[in-house]
Amino acid sequence: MEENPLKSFTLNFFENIKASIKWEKNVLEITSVPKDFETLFGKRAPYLLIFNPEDISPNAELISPGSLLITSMKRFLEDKAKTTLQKINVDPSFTDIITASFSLKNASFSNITKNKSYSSLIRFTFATVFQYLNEKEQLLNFITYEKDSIANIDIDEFELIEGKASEIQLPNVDALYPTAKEHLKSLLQPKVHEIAKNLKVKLEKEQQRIKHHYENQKRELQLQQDKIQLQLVELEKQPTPEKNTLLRIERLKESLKELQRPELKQNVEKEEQFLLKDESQKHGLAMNTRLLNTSIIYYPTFSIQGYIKNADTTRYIKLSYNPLKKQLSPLPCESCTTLLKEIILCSGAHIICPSCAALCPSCAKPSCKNCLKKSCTTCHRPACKTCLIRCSSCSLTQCKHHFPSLSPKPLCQSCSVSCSSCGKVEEKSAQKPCNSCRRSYCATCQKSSLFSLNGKSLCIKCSQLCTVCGTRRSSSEFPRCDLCSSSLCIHAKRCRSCRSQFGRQVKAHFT
Amino acid sequence: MEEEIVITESFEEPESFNLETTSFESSSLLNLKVEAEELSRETQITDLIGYPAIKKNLEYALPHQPDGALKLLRDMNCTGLLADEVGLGKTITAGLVIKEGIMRNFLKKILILTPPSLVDQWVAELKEKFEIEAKIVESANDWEAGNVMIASLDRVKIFNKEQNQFRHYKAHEVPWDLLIIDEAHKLKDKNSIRWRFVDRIPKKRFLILTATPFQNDLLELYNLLHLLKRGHLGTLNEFKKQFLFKGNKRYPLNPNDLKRKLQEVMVRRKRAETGIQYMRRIPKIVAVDLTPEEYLCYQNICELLKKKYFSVNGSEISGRLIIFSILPKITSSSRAAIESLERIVADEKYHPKTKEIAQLILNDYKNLKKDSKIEKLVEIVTGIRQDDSQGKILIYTKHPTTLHYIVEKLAPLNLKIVKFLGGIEREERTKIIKEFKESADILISTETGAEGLNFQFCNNLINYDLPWNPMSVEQRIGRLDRIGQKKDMNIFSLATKNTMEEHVVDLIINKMCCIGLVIGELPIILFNLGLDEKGALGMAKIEEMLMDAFLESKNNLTRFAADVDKLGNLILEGIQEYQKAKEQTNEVLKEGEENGRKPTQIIHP
Repeated sequence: MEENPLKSFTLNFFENIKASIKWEKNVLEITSVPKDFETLFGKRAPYLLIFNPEDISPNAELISPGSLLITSMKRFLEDKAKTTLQKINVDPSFTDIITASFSLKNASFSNITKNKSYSSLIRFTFATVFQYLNEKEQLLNFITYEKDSIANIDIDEFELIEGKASEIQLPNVDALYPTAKEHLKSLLQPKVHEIAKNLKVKLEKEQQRIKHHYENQKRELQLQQDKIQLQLVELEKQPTPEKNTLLRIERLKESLKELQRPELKQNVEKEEQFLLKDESQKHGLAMNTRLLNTSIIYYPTFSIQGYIKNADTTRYIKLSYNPLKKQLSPLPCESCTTLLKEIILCSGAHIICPSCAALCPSCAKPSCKNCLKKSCTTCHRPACKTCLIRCSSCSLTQCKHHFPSLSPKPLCQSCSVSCSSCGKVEEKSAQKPCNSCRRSYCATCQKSSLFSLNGKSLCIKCSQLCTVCGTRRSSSEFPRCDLCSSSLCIHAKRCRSCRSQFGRQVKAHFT
Repeated sequence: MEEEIVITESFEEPESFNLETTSFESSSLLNLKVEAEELSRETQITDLIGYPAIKKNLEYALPHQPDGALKLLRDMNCTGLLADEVGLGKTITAGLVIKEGIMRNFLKKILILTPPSLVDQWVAELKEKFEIEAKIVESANDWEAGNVMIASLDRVKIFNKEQNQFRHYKAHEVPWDLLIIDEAHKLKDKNSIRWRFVDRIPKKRFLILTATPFQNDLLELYNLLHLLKRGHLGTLNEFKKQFLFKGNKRYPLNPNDLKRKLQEVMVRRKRAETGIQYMRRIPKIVAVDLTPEEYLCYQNICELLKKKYFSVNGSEISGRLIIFSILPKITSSSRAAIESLERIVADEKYHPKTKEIAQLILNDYKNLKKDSKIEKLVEIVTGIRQDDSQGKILIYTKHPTTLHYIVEKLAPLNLKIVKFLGGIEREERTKIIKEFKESADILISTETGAEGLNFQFCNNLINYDLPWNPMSVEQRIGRLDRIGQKKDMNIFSLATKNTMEEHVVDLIINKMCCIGLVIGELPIILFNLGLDEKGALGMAKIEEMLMDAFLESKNNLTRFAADVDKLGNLILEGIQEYQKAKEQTNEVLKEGEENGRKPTQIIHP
């Protein structure tokens, strides 16, 4: 069953002013009422109230819309709550918000932190009463400003608690009030127009009645004059009129003179105008507006920081969250600027939409178009920034496949050589090749693997140490075994590999 | 040219917004404030929001009253003719309209124009029943003294020919939200100054109250409606053409058309529809036979006043006013007569001869062994109590001296008596009334107790002496004859035989106040006869006529009786005319029976 609005209002009111309330069957007893209300009401507590005409109780007052108590309660509240400070109590879970707002394809969020600050709204509550004929309508309008513009926010869905002036910097309300008034006028326009339209119909009907009446009256006046004139014409036609006829003519002339007085017509017109004006006044619309309340409503705004991270790249992001609009600040694709829902972390640490992502042919990882703009100067395939490396020697950008070594500095295949002994990759100039096999050797390995022989550098593979004389010579100077083709020392009688005799052959070779 | 709607805007500017120094209030108070505004959202009038609170102040909850008020408010925008039959409480219905309009904030400036005798009654009713303070217009500058103003139309309609304007022209400068004319049957002549005064008053809403919107001539109805809503019945010629035919001023040519037109602007209920029961007034004139000694005293005193009443310088005091003030006392009681004679004897302004004669008569009065009138009163009281041991009795007299005399003489009956005199404080009045209702057997009152009090629990009235103004007598009877009276009323009136009083009592009681008229009808009849106005001396015209007849008769009772009879016949004709007009009016204004409405049950609180 629908609660009686008067009953709930009465209960709320007395609870609010800290009066004592007690129910005795259907009679509400109010005691401990503040003195200022008693003075306003003109009656001291206790008050015994009933809300249903069927609940008969001696000394109890039936509360109806026109009751003095209701009027007094309304009057008591008129001066109250003119200015209020309220806080929207909200503390959302950002992880949920972020994960709900964005989906990450190849990364995840990490280290999300938030900072809180306060923004404020100013809400003006206006009550406008429209009074016309015997009707009265009342409208409440809530106009909310955020910064300097109107905010269409439904505050009612949030929990509001009492605010503390120390938490925020109070805004300047004076500046916005005139704007609010102007905006109110535009909000009231449709209602005014609707009422005026209805009133106009009624007014026109009444004015029509009056105008019609006075038109008829003037017409009758004219007809009367015409009739008399006709009568006079007829009577004056008589050549020798009788005494009675002359008298009649005289009287008719007097009547005509009376009817033709300008004041007569003027009075009729004056009367008509008076009545038309009266009707206009009757069908007027009176509007009275008052500012019921100015509320400063402040709410937290959050600044969220964190990282989008995957195995290869990390990207720092900063967002803001407005709990009123339930909106995170948008993240645009760094390639096409579309607002992101699905995020792909580019290998270049760009955040992009799936449309802007392409796989790097080199590493097969997603990259943005910008990052894949460049190609390898060697193989001419596009590659991402990660994969494209600039040779520190020739400065050509090549994909990393062409880099045997990347540290300590990147050197492409063309500019680098690898030590045949230790495998160290260095610039070509840093290593010496064997004149014979052209294998390179780093400075370190040169000591043990590259020999200077007869003005040539020969590597250990291209030279041999004679076991007889201990001298190193080019391998070409050493014959080969006829049987196993191993290199033979010129001083050796047998092949060290297959132990065959080859003395004379060797001598022959060398003589 | 099309008229635009007049829109007036007002904006209550707040105080400055200095938030630094403002103390913020709780939001729960704000919610309450918004809730309060939501409660006020109600717009269209579907019921009377003020009625439940006012109901406790009304003696009886009569549904036709709030129903009528609602119809006027909701369907007629408070502009209409409230033409309920006499006795149905038009004042209450109008009061409900006023209260509702004030509570809904669309009525602020209200003007009520009434006959002079009803001004105070309106003030009292508005205050006691509707908790509305109203002010009376006393002078031409009073028109904006308050929001609710009441004025006597007779008083304010005066036109100053030299200045060519109404003396109270300021009434035409106030934009009234509601104008009410009570007893508007006086506005039937479009050419009267009264009519023109009312027509010029600017008003947004207009209520005309009259039980008799027309009586003798349909043109009266036209003039009334012409005032109410111009053009509603067309021009005069159109009205005549459509509704009047030669030889019959009262019955319309097209009654159904006229009824349709009237229904748009009129609320009219008949007693039969309301279920209210009206009890009978049973007149009981009790003849008092004076003893020869009493009769002689009476004759002598009349002689003194008519022929031997001289001032000290020898000139005859023949001023009617003087006689009018002394004669009623003398006919009231012997005690009052003695008091008057003593004053004449003691007053130096009288001629010694006059004083001498007065002294002689005084001596005779004092030597009277019997007071026939008071003995008769005791008989009546005893008789009433024998018939009904619980029956309460209301006794009226014009004079305080007589009142005290009656109390003294009724004391041996061992009945509880309460007195009601002028000058009593309001609280004391309430106490006396309560005592009469609950425990006392008899209430004796002067004329003060005739106004505005309700004794419908009592059905026995004794007029110990009778005012010569029938309206005063009607007022007395009206204390018993009210809604809620459950028994027929016994109206006893003492009339000393072979005196002027006998004939006057017969005229007023048998031919005016107790002939079956419903309360409220007599003033209309007297108005129709031109007898309701004040005479040259400021008293009721009919009273002055009777006094003049007394003076001219020069103690010739036969001549006086003939004059009174003439007046009686005139009144009878007036009553017959009224009854005839009433029947025809009801025929013309007939509604309700057509709708098959049944009478409602009377409700007692």
